[in-house]
Amino acid sequence: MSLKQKGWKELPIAGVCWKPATEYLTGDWRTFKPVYDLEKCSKCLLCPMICPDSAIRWNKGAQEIKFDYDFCKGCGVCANECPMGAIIMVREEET
Amino acid sequence: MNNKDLMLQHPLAKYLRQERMPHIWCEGCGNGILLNSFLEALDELQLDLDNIVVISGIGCIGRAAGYVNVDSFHTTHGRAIPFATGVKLANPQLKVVVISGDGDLFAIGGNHFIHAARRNVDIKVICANNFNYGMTGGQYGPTTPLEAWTTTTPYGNIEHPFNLVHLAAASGAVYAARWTTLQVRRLKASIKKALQKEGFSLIEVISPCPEIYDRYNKLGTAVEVMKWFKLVSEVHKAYDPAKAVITKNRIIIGEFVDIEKPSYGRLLREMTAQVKEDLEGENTK
Amino acid sequence: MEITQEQKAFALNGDEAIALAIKQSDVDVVAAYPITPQTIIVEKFSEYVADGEVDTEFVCTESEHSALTACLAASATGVRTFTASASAGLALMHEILYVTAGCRAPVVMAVTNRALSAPINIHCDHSDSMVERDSSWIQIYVENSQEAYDSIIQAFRVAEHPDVLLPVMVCLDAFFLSHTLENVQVLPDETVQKFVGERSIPLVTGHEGKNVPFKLDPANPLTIGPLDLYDYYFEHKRQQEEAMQMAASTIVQVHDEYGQLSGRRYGNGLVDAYRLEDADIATVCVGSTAGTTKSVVDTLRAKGVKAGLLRLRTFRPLPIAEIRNSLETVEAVAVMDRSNSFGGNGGPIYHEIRHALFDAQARPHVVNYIYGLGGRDMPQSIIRNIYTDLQEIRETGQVNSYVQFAGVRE
Repeated sequence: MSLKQKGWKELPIAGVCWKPATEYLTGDWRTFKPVYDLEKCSKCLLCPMICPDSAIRWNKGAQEIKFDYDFCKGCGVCANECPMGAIIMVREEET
Repeated sequence: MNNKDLMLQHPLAKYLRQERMPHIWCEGCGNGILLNSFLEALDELQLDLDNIVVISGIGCIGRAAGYVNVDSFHTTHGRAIPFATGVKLANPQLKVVVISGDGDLFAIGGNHFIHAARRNVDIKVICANNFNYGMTGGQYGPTTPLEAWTTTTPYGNIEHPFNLVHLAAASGAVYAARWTTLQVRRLKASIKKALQKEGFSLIEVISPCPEIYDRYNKLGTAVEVMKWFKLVSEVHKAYDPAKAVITKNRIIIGEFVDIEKPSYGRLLREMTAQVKEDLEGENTK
Repeated sequence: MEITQEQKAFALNGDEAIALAIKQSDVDVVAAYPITPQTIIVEKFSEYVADGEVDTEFVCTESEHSALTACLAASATGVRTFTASASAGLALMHEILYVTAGCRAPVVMAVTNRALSAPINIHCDHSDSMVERDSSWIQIYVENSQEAYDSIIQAFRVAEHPDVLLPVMVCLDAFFLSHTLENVQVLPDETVQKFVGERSIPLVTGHEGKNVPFKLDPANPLTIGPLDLYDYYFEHKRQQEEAMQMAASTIVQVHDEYGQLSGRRYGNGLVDAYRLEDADIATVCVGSTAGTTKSVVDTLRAKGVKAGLLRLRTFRPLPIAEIRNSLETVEAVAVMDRSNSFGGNGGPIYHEIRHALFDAQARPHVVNYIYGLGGRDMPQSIIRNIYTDLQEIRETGQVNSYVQFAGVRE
């Protein structure tokens, strides 16, 4: 949220969304953080599909997955579903 | 003998508020038949009239609440069922009957119907289905058959109608029946059965609307509509309600659902008693 | 010199006049639910739809709540919408009235003013729309079917004006107007279409930071109606108040422009003063009672009594300066309310007239008569008695009772 908030004369009418919701980083909610072991990864690409927040991307050039920690809420579904055990969840403060 | 004397001799006179008679329903309207069948059922069961409540919504049949000589309430549009729910929960001894129309119960009040049926509130819903909003001048509503003419569908209806008995069955009603106003004895028996049964019951009564709907749809006079009922009605026992779609050539009638299931009120009272008992047990420990 | 378009007279009741105005105004979506005495509007209009006379999407929803929601949604896509309701139907719309105004959707609605339950009553009074005076809808009360026709056409221009973008209610008295035949002068279709024109869509800043048309359009995505908490909600409500203020000048301007086309004017569009210039005593009212009152005023004037009438055509926005200018030289004013604010010491119009006169140079005595609830007739005799009371107040300077009920049996 910007420091200087808009007054009624500057604000778009009717409460339309005038800034993207991506300014709000839901990664703040995280208690556990997914950590990735490239050695174990079979590149099956199940995790990007199963992530409820679309916070796992496939980096084609580097041939690896990448977490978007701005939006990963730390639910742990990816770690649970990874067939290779290549993702583990660690406490945020321990990383 | 003047008219008043005749009226006093009417066998069902004690069930009616005679100062409200004659009723205002059109010539040949099925509402009078429906009301008669309900009163006959009351008479045969010899129920204590002090324990019966009749609640109606808005529409032609809504007048019924004002005509019956029992405690009654004429609610706002669509709200007969939630009102009835309140009455039943406040005083479980009462037999609570909703008499209302298809427009009231299934359009504006549709949400209440499905949820009262789902919870199995012990109320009896008798629905006069005349396929349109008669009182406001014959607009199409939630039961208007496809292609039917109404004041708002001058070239025929393009919305699919509800199949009320199927809706009741799917929502959880313990009893669902359909009759036309021709089968008065079966209708009366059905009302008697519902009144003696625990749980949410729907009795759909296909009813002529000779001045508006039937006129728009060239179905003829009330007599001709009754002849049509006779021609197309098929009585079945435990017919699959999903298949009981009303068409010009076929109206499946009969009882579609007749099951036993504890009512919301009973489960509520049992749970409260149990919780109370448990708490008392803990207190004496 | 006014340029008056060639017009034709038709015998129409108020509901039919409104249906015709809708037909001529190129409305894209009409959604409604039947309720007496609004039904004729929708029935008549559904005939136009079915006969292919209009290119309008028409839907009979399963309740008024849904009808207005459908109109709101359609309006949010940038099209022109209309609905009609009354009484319990309008009350059921209550939630969505606020949503429509808050989403700045210029929906136009006809309200055939009918009493609220309980007990159930289908006849005229203003309880249904008066309770919605704070909903941020513009409210226009008409005196006759001709004005109903004219006001609906003007309503689209006012509602859709980019400085306004607020919904409009055109209120007409149940049965007295909705069901009573009257000669209504009708403009040619093309003239109305040209007057109403295409709905103009202003630009707003969307979530991608770009200025995009203020409508739901997949090509330029926009979110309308999101959660808006203590950090911005207040600013958005302040904008609505500004829009209401803009509505007042827009109503005057649109009314004047329409007057040049049709030759018909209703005061300045906000208030309609009748023989008020030198009046000593005056009544204030809205709706069809004004017609009866004008006739009483004429009779009194013929007897040398300086009587006048102020009819509020626009109740929201409240034309506070016009009320003050019209009434501050009058000595005694009787406000006639066809609804009551129970326990509020008088009806809503009374409260607002007194509020408008508080800062007047010379404050007249202002009294209130609640009348005509549930369709009770308001004959000339009762109105004459009200003027007699006013004369007495003027002569004695004494007010015995500020709020009275006219036409109720003791």
